[in-house]
Amino acid sequence: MPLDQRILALAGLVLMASFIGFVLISKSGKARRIKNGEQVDLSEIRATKGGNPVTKFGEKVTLLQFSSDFCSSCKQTSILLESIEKAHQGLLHIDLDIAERLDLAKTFSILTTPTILILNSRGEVVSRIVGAPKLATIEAEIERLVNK
Amino acid sequence: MTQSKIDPRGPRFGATITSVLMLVVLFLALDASTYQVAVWLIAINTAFFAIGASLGNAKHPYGLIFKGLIRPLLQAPKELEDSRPPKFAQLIGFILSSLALVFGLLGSDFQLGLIICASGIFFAAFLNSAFNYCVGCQIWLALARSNLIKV
Repeated sequence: MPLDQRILALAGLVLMASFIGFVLISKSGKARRIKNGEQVDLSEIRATKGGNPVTKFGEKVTLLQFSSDFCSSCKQTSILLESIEKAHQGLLHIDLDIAERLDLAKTFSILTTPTILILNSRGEVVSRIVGAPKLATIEAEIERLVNK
Repeated sequence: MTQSKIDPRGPRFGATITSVLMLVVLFLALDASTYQVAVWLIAINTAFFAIGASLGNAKHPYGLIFKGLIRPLLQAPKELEDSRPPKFAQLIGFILSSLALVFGLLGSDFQLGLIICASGIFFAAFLNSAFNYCVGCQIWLALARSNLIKV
């Protein structure tokens, strides 16, 4: 193949990869609002926190995080959400390992980890964040629920 | 399973070299006169992935370069990451690279196979290098969800 065609082909490949990268990055970590979100059933989740089963949602907000072993940004997200939990009253953070609960991955259509479902006081899904979020993103979602 | 921690910039540095190397491979594989050189490069690349997938990224030649030459120039990492995700990514790379090598060794009739596999490695390495996006995690989750691997 002539030189200029080869260079064009490779440039096309780099462009395509960059485009895919930008699309992935732009969606990652952003909150998507969900209207009429489903009610999460705590007895189905069977989450534990500090060794005790979780039987109640957070008074105001619950951050339901789905993580996996093979996910480097899940740990960072856990640390972030734990610090947010400490800073707010009535906020509960639950971290679930998808590897142990593939049934939940199917129930909640988790394709990527971390995925965070933000639940209101009744345990209904109000937003969904796919990918590691920034502090400000979570704070904005919490604000919306608390000041309602 | 032992939970070792590594500097996350190490695998990203390696992915940068891999993505450039794959561009070189594709450039050479697209011309009949240099096709053999591309196959040789793929063979070396496959061996590197084999080291990464079996011994971990720290023992990978690029990992050693990072540790010896690059890391002393950088500040200490803000956080360490689990060594298993990048190691899993090395396994995916090894599988793709082996396939590319098989196509390469079968002769230039299988040029398209080699080019598709090398492009696949390029995409994964480039997304890791430029966007810090872990393709391996997604593949792992997809496999686990469809019950193809035991977790």
